[in-house]
Amino acid sequence: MPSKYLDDDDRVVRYVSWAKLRRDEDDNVLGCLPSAFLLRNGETYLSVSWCEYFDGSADECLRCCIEAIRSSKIEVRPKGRFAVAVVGRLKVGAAEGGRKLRIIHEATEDNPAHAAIRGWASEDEELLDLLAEEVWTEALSAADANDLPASSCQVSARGAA
Amino acid sequence: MREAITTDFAPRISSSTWATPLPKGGLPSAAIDDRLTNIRTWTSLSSKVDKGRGLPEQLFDTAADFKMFTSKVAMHLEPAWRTKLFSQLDSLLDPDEWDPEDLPPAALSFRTLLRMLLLLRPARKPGLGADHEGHLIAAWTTDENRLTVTCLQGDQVRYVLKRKLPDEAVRSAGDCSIAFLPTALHAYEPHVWFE
Repeated sequence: MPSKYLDDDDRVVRYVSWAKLRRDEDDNVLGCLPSAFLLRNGETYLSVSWCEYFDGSADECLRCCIEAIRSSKIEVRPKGRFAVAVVGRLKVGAAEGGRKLRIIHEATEDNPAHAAIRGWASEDEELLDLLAEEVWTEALSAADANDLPASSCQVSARGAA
Repeated sequence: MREAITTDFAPRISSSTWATPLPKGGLPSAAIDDRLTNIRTWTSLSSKVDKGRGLPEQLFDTAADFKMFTSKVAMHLEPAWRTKLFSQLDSLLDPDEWDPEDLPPAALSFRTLLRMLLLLRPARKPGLGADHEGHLIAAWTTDENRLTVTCLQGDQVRYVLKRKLPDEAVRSAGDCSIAFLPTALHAYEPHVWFE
């Protein structure tokens, strides 16, 4: 089956635990640390979830994507955040660091919206910091996510293709 | 399987550059060095993950150990800062928030963090974070100016920064010792983060 590359307008979501959130000395969340986007030993791609796998409005897709993460094996904790990035901006940002990303829908058993970002620059902290600041700009709390409109989370035509 | 943290992170700069003069009054005293160096448990705590204990217990013990280590140099810390640091550690190491896939922070990383803060003595304290390999992270953020320091073992740090200047934004990253860090940051006017 051919790889399904995500479009530049598509959005991806990554769960970021409390320890990897950029905070001030009073624990106010300011964004994500570069460490939120480091690959673990043995990982060959960065795991994200694809919003437009689902059908509906932009906010409905985002909510469904977050629910897919919550239903997966990832242990979502109360103060963790859901970082959102636009695929095209990720590619442009990574290109500034000499990286060419391939962002591919690769469903897993526990998450049908799972996508892999291949060619990720895990060792380049300067680039990860740039992406954390300029691309992963939105980091939704659990409450933010719960305020998004819910839908039946039908699979989109592109998601089903 | 989780690996023990044993890697030595060699600095990318030559050892001769460590001799760069440090800001007057910024160095921790020999007494601080002695106290931090002589804590016998630093090494034993740095290289093991006790798989026989649950994560909540490990995190609780880690926080307790870090506070105990801090108490060894308590006379050099403002009480308000020590209270805040303890609060930050409790928050960071909260078992309800910790990703079970991540290694708890290593004692030798905390040692580097503490020594770095005693060296820099920043008026504005950093936010704390961690990576999945057991390293603590200190982050200072002032508007668009960002400084992120990953505390490795052996007084080594990895820093990445963005400094917003009137006509441009400068980014930089590097590895060095905490002794060299003030010199490495000097060109970026670190008072924007620390004061």
